[in-house]
Amino acid sequence: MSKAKRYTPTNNPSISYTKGTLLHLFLVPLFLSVVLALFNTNIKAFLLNGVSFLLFFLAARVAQKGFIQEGKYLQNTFTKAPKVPYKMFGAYLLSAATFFTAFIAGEQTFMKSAFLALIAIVGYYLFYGFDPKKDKLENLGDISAEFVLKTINEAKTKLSHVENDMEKIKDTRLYEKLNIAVSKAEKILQTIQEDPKDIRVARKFLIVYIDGIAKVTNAYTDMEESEINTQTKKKLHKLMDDVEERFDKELSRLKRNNQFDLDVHIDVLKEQIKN
Amino acid sequence: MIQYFKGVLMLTPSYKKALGFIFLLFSAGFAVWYPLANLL
Repeated sequence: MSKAKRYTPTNNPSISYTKGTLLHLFLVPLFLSVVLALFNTNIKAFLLNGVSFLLFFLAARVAQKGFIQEGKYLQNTFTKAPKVPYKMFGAYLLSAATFFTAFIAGEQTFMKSAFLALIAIVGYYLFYGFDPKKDKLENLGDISAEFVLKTINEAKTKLSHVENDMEKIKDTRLYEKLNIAVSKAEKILQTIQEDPKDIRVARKFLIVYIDGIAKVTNAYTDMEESEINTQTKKKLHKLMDDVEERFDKELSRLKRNNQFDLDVHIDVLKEQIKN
Repeated sequence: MIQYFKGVLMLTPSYKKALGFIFLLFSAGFAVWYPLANLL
């Protein structure tokens, strides 16, 4: 069997997970001091430096969670602000870690340690900023933003299930077809996110089609691929062709809808200018 | 003083970042060396 791995490019822009590296760099001298204290069998220093290390480590981890959360918020055009302000917690933890390390583990004066802790929190705020607070939910008239968000998130979850199931599929033709369908579905979701009023038009797509694909791929992967007969496979290939066609139609319908919105706005402005 | 901080907060993002980086490096980045210095 070939050892070649399947190339699966991601359609979404990647979130930078490298943000927060600086906070991890602060761990290096603390790690060295823990090791040195251990070599010197200085138990007190070992324990205090160990606590310092853990505090800085915790601050870096919490902050990183906040950065990932922020990345997802920035990536989505229609979303709520993060519920838990991890970036802010990270800042407080960093400040506490700085104070503890300078005052207790480093045996510096109270004033000096407090000053360093204060500067650390100001520096963190200026360099990383705090968590986003504003919900990216525009006024949608008669549809509730919560409902739109819930529907979109459910559709995204189902799509990620499909993507997970796809990894188990060995039939390359079917895999390709599913890959095309998923990327088109993601494009449709993105279009809906950009103009959430479209949810009225695309409700059937969100509820029926994505769910249907998820069920089919799940049922397919539950079986041994060799057990599935050629006729069923052919039927499945044909179905995926139909799905692709349907998704294309859905996408053009959404685009037409946007075109219609634009026409309405143009007509309204035209009338206003006339009067 | 308040005016100064207001000025800092209204700096353009890149200046803000650079200042934040320096602040972080010379506070938390400084404090982490104290325990090691005590042992040497």
